Formats: sequence, structure tokens, C-alpha cells
Amino acid sequence: MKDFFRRLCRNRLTVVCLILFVAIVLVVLCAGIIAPYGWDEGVVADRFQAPSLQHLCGTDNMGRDIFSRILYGGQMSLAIGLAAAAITSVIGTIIGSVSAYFGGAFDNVVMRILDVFMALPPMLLAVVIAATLGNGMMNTLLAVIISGIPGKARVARGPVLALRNQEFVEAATASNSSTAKIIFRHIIPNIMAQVIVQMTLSISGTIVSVAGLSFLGLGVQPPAPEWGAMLSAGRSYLRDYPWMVIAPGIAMMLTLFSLNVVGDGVRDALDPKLRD
Amino acid sequence: MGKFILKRILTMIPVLLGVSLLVFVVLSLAPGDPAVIIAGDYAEESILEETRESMGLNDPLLVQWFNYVKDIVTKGDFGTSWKTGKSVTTSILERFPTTVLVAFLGAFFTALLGVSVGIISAVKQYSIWDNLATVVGMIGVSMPNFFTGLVLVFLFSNQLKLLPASGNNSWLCYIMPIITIAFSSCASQMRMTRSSMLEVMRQDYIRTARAKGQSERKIILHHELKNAMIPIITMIGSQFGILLGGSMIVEQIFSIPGVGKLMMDSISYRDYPMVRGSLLLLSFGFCVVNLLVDIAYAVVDPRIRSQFARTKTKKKKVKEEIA
Repeated sequence: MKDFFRRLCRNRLTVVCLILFVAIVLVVLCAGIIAPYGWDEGVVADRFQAPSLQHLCGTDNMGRDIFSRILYGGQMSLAIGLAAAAITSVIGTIIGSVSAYFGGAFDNVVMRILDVFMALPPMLLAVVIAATLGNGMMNTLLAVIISGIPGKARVARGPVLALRNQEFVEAATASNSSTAKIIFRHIIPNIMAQVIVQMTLSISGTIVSVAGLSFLGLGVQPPAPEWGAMLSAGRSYLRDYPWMVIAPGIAMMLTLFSLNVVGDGVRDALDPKLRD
Repeated sequence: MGKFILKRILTMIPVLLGVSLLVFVVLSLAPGDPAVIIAGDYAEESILEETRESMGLNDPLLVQWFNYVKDIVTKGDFGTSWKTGKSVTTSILERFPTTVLVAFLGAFFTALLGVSVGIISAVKQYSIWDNLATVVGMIGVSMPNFFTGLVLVFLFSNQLKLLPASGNNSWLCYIMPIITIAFSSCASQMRMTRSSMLEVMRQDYIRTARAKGQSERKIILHHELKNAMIPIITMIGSQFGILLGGSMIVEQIFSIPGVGKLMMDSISYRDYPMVRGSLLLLSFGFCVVNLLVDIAYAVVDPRIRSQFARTKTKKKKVKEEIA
């Protein structure tokens, strides 16, 4: 663990981005204290105000403070994004490793089903599921999770196929360990590094998917603040009041940038090839 | 080789059937009674019942799916739109070329930019250009394409008034969508090219080429790039497929009348036959592109080609040994 952090901190950009990301999470979590206004608190007379000291990022078409909405919206975007990435990785890893461990016909059936899911591009799959389930935070979360599972299962399957014939698995079988114990105690810990890397790298992807669904009008609905939904709402006022789009967009960009750099850093730090 | 292609095409059939079943089942779970959507909110129960009967909605779901697939395979008929009453097939095929064009141009410029910058990055590793390209690429990946698109619209149509913000009636309309696509996807292409090139550059035959006094330009283009090309081609292909399937966001921002936009509009009207048709067409396109990538992969790389030949002879040998 110590070794992991030491290697993670070797790259200066990674450290800066890690600090940036932690800062964003903290600020967003403390939205209730930091935000100068409530997320649905607006004075119609004050609408479309340009950024000023009073309203750091200006106000929107209902006179709501955009800066406050970005902070509250961040709670939703980050919560859905992180939850989706974590749940997808857990379910995908379990499906992939169980399928690979049993092998044979069972593995074949599971893989063909995943093939079908993967024949639909992920965004398309998420759009259909979201359209069927209807709007709302939980449904968006579900759509992003389902569309992400096949890819994760595929990633987990490969290493498990290689592991299941190793001696320690044989030893576990010989000492009469239950199948569940072999999979969860012996095999999955061995692929944990890959799973963690995949998960960190996918967080930014899930945040974009959630925001994309909201942007298309299928995710989180207004007036709830969510970055994608805010961008979509600001689109109609782009010509005259660009800060309605640019402010949430930059918030999103900073978050995704820091996440991507940290993800790359984690990958390099866990990569046994780069170990000295 | 021919056997491989045939096998690959044959495995596509069950996958496509599965996709159609998946799409069918998922959309049948969608809220709203189809009969009410077609006959109107205030239709009497007898009319609703008649509509259901005439459309086969009373049949079990699997029977409905079977009939749907049968119509597609035998007549190329994707059903009729609930909203306009027009044939879904004509509507989606009318719009498909636009979607393919945007995805193709997007993938083309992504490749052009990504590969050339990737080569420079690899050749001048750790130089200022390499670092600059990495950072700019990272920013591109971190900007969701809907944000990039809106920023471009604001700059080039609202402020500078250079380019039209929407539509597809002149070639000018395609510039911003393509920049949007290229900016967000060229970083991965660039990185792939860079790492692939760096790997090749360490090989012995590159040192040999350099030792015999080959010009640097020729080494880079002929010896290095050619050998680094395989993962790059795969990447270009899969990016084209993803762009095809993810076309709705770009089409939505720039109001390009493609299949993606048609699908999003149909979702809001609850015109499910149209949604189903567009979805199947897009995923069909995605599968075909992936198939072509697989084939190209085998064609381009003589090592893979010979592998096929070798496994064949190996199998024959094993069979002979058994016999």
C-alpha cells in the first residue's frame, strides 16, 4: 500500500490532479455550507445576471445562482458516477470470474449473452434502457450500470481463465474449499489490481454517460441540478447568456481531467511491468 | 482465410437475432399502452381491442418478435411508424447515409490527427511537443462532446458568425460536428499510436535499418509505422463503430437529421417501431464495422495470416497422428 502511494506520487501531475479531485469532492460534499444560495432558490427579477461577486457564475433563466447549482449538481453527478463505476465493476467482475472459473458450456452461454449486449454500443444501450425505465436518478443509475457490465465481465474473464489452472487453485480444491470460497478468497484477490485500475479509469466514463443521458433529456430531470441537465437547459440561452453552459461545463471538465490523470497514475502505479 | 471470414459472418447471425430480441423485450417493457398511443387517448375500449388484435399485440411476446424478425428478413420491413404511419424502413434508410457520413468523417479526421500527432510524440519522446500533445489530448478526453459542441457553436456561430449552428445543407455544417468528434476521440488514437510506435522503435530491425544508413524519414514511415499499424487500424475501426452508435449526441447538438436524432425524437413521441428500427440499424452497422475490423486485422498482419495457416496444418498433423 505504502509502495503504491510512493509510486503514485512520483508523477507530479498525478499528485496535483489527486489534490484537485479531492478538493472538488470536498467542496461538493460541503455544498450545504459553501453554497451561497439554495439549488432551487431564485429571484426571477435577478435572472440572466452575468458573473459577479454576488453570483460567482451568474444566474440562470429563473434567477437561480449557477455556482450554488453547480455545487449541488456535483453531488448528484459524482454520486451517480462513482456508484455506477463501483457497482458495475463488482457485478462485472463476479459474472466474469464465475463464468471463467466454471468454463465449458456455462461460460459459453454467458459469453454469448454478453456478446449480444456488446453488439449494442454502450451509449445506445444506456439510452434504450433509460427511455424504457423513465427518468429519474435511480433509473439513470441502472441504465449506466447495465450498459457497463458486459465490458467489465469481459475484462475480468481473461485473467481468471489463466488463473484457474494454477497450482494454488488446485491446492484449494484439494483441501476441500467450497467453490464460492475458491472464487472469492483465492481468485478474485488475485485480479484485484486489474479491477481497481479498470474501475478508476471508468469513473470519468460513467460520469460522462450520466451527464450525456441527462443532456439528451433521459436522465436527471430539471429542476434538479445535474451538470448534464444544466448544460442542456443552458443550450437554449447559449447565444446571449453563455455562462449558463460554460460554468457547469468547466466544472465537469476539471473533474473529468483530474479523474483521468489520477486513473492513468493508478494504472501506472499498479502495473507490474513498470515496477522497479 | 475464407473460412475465418465465413465463420465470423455466421457467428454474427445469432448475435443480431439476440440483439433484436433484447431490443424487442426492453422496449415492450416501456410505459404506455401501444393501442392507446395509436388510437388516441380517448378511444373506446372496443376500438382499442380492435387495434390490439389487428397489430398482433395480443400474441405472446415471442410470437410478436418472431413475426417482426420474419418481416425484416423476408421483406426488409421494419414495421410502420405509430406517429406518421410511414414505413420505418424508408425513414431510417433515408437518414442512415447522413449518420454514416458524419461518423466516417469523424473517424477519418480523428485518425489523421491522432496518428500524425502520435508519430511526432513517439519520435520526439519526452520533448515539449510530446508533453503538450499529451496534455491537450487529456483536455480533449475530459471535455464531454456535448460541452465541446456547445462551446464551438457559441464561438463560431454566435460570436464569429462563421459557421452555421445546425442543419446539413452545406459542407460548412459538417465542420463543427467533426471538430467536436475529433477533439474528444483523437487522444486515445494518439496514445495508441505513440505506445505502439515506441514498442516498434525498440526492435532490432529498426537498429539494423539505422545501421545500414537508411534515411530517418524512411525508417519512421516504412519500418516503424508499417509495423505499428495493426493496433492503430483496430482502433480506427472500433472508433468508427462507436461513433456510429453514439451518433445521437452530436446529431442532437447540431440538429443533423440522422438516425440518432430520429431515434431521440421517436423516443419523445413514444413511437416505438421507429426507435426499434433505428436501434437495430445502428447496432447492425456497429456489428458490421467490428466484423470488417476483425477481417482487416487478419489481412494486414502476415503474422496472423500465417497463424491461421499454421493452426490448420497443426490440426491436420494432430488428426493424422490420431489416425
